[in-house]
Amino acid sequence: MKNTLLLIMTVSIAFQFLAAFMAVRLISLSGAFVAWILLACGFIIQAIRRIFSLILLLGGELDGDIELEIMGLLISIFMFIGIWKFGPLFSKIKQSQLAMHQKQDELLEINRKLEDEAAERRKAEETLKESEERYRAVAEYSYDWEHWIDADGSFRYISPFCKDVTGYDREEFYRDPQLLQKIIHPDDLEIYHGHFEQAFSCSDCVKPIDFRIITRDGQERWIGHVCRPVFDSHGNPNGRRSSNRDITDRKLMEQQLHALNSELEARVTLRTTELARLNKELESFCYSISHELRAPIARLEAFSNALKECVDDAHPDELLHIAERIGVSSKHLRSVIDALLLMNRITRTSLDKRAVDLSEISRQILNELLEASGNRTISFSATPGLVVQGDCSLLGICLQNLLGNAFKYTAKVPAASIEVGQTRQAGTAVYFIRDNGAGFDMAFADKLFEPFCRLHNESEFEGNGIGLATVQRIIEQHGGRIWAESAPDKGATFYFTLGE
Amino acid sequence: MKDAMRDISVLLIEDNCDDEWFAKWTLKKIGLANVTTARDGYEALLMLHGDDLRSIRKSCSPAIILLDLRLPKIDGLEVLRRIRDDERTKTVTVLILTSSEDPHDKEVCKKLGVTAILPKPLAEEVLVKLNLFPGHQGVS
Repeated sequence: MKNTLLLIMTVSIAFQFLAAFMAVRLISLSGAFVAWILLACGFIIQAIRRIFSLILLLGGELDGDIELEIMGLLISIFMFIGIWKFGPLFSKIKQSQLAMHQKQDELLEINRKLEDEAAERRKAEETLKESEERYRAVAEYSYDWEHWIDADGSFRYISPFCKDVTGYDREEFYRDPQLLQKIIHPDDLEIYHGHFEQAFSCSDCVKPIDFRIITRDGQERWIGHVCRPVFDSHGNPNGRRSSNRDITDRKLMEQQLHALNSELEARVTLRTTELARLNKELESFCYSISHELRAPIARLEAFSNALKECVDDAHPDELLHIAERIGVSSKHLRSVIDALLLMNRITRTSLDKRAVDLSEISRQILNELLEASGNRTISFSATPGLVVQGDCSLLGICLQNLLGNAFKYTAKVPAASIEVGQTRQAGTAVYFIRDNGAGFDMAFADKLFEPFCRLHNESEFEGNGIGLATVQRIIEQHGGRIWAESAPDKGATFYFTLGE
Repeated sequence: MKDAMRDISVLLIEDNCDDEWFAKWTLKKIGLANVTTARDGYEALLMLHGDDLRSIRKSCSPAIILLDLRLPKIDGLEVLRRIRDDERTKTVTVLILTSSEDPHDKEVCKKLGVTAILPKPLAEEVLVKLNLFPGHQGVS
């Protein structure tokens, strides 16, 4: 009996310990550390109490009650089983807890991803917005009139600056795609059409063009137009982007430059022609001079040869003639040289301008001429007080030549008359010297002022042919001009101005 | 011989009376006495071709023309040009008398077919050298 009791007690103690052990093991599953430790301590204390009971029983100090011990054993077994059964429960709980945690983690992960995505989107949106803003700023604040045009001529975009250039709002262009063509200058429409057609048929061969437009307020402006094809993200053609710049100032400058160049070229050509003409004139003048000097020398030579022959053949009349002509030739030679020197002096002299009384000088010159000729009577009249601003000595030479000519060419007229006067033409004072002498045919008037050109032969009227050329130089030096009117045997009138 | 030369008519176009005198003096020496003088280009052309407007023509059909280049009214080169342009005087012998050395003048004269360009005043030996009248050799 005692042994059964001992066995029951021992088994009961064993279960108590096992239950304590199981309770401790559950800590890892359920985590309720304190609860389980307290429970395990309870079991262990109970086991120890039973061990004491066992020791007392073994010592015989206690009898033991088998029923009580069996109940105790049952309690121990139930407690053990209860604790043991907790294991799967907690395991399940733990598993579901783990699964829950896992799910939670997954959810967290998804959440995080979503949040990232949202952030990215926000960022992308911001970037897009910024990019849009940038493009808008680039397009809207473009200095040029920019547009994006479709093949049908309708506009997809027009920058606001078009109003500054054309005077028309961009909305007007959107509403009426034909507006652009309406404002292009009619003379440049063909250029624009050609360009537009080419742009959509052969975009690589199209070149920038310049054309004029008429702005809303009727001004003409030059536009420099460049464009390039647009392609969408799939590489399909999507209209053309154009930049139109107001190049009016540049064009005007170009035109001015062009005009200046042309003018300069024309001036250079004119000067070159003038220079060539002057050179030719100078050359011909040199030949004229040499001719005028050689001719009398050759005559003198020939006269000296003729003298010998005349002496040999005894021609007294001819001898006399030759002697006389040698004198004339020498005089002529001297007059040519003097006239050339005078002309040279005139060219080099600078004008000493002061008040000159043409009437008075004319009177003096005519008196001198009359005295020198001795036997001529001339009716002479001079408007009194023809006072001009000019070089006294040069104008004196002028009048000497002109009056000398008048005197010479009236020699064969019975009632010679010479008149010095003034008239007005287009508000300019014109002075004249008129005679009723031999005159000349106006057909030869252009030769009148050429050096060494004579309209009368030397046997009729002597002269060196430099007088009028000299007069012309003097008049031109005064800034005036000289011309003549005449008819054969009807006298001649020489008019001149003095650039007053 | 000189008698045979007498009929050869010469037109001297010269405005300077000394040069005219020398020319006549020299021509006379080689037997050319039939000399008419014109004192400017206009008068010369009037003699040769007449003036259609005035219907005047001083009859003159010279065999030889002695032409000065510097002439009043119409200069020698223009006279020469008109002589050559007119059928009546196209082939007449023209001798230029000049003191000018202008190469342009000489070139134009040669182009217009002058027989010689002689220095002024006219000297006998240069005229003889030309041998203008082969049938009348030794006239001088």
